Amino acid sequence: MIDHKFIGKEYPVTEYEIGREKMKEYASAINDSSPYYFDREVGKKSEYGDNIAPPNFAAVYSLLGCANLFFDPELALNFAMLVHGEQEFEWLRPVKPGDVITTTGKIVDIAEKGNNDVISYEAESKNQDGDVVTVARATFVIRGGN
Amino acid sequence: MSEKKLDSASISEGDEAPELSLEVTRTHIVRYAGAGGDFNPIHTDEAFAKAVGLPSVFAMGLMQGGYLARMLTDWVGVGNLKRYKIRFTGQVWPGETIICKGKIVRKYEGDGEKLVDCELAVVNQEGDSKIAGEATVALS
Repeated sequence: MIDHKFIGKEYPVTEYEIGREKMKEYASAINDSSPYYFDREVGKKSEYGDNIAPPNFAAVYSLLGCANLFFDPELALNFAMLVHGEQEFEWLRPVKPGDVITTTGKIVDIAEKGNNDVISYEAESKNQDGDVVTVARATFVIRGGN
Repeated sequence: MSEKKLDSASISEGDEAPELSLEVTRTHIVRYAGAGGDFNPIHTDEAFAKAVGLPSVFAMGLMQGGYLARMLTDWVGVGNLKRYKIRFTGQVWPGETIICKGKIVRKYEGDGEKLVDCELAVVNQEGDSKIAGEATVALS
């Protein structure tokens, strides 16, 4: 069982600068060749003025701080038994090359379900203008309890 | 403008998205690990996976989650996905074929936008569930 006193615990802000090639590498890894991600001319003519990242690129910049949670000495999670249970993304604004994304992550819930412990993590990512780009909510299950 | 693919006037509740499928190989998993930054050896190191009692490596959930989001953007156009929530219901093993599916369950207006809620699923070639989920999409 994970002590419920950690509900609300915040982790240090992470910073991630969006790189064009990294964005394209992610799109390629899901076999996505959309010109919105790859074709500079299409990007320039779009409302975004540049290429944008595929929505799930949020997995890269918004979940960076998860390592802080997984290896938090206070929680001492049994990482070997940890599985990703659920993932939610809310996309408020697209991200594009050169954007500097800062993300604040926190524990929003700790619960027990049967033999398992479930920890819910929420991360809010903002761009360099202070606008929220993505909210990510993940639940991780510690099978057999922590 | 965001990419225009679906017109809200021409779609109805119950409409299904074109399916997207992929026969998963270890190369897909390794490639996603590098692109996504998830280097848990359970996904990429066969010897490690077997040593902890698994039949082989298996894909990180967000790999099939990524394919599922791609199925959606292929269907509704890039820039129109507002939110999705997915639940990982089964591991995906090399050699399995994943099939990403979407269906419109609700069409409505909210905050001055034309919105559509979709039911999502990823299943394997036998129909076994790998992801169950839902999404909200804005249409022009």
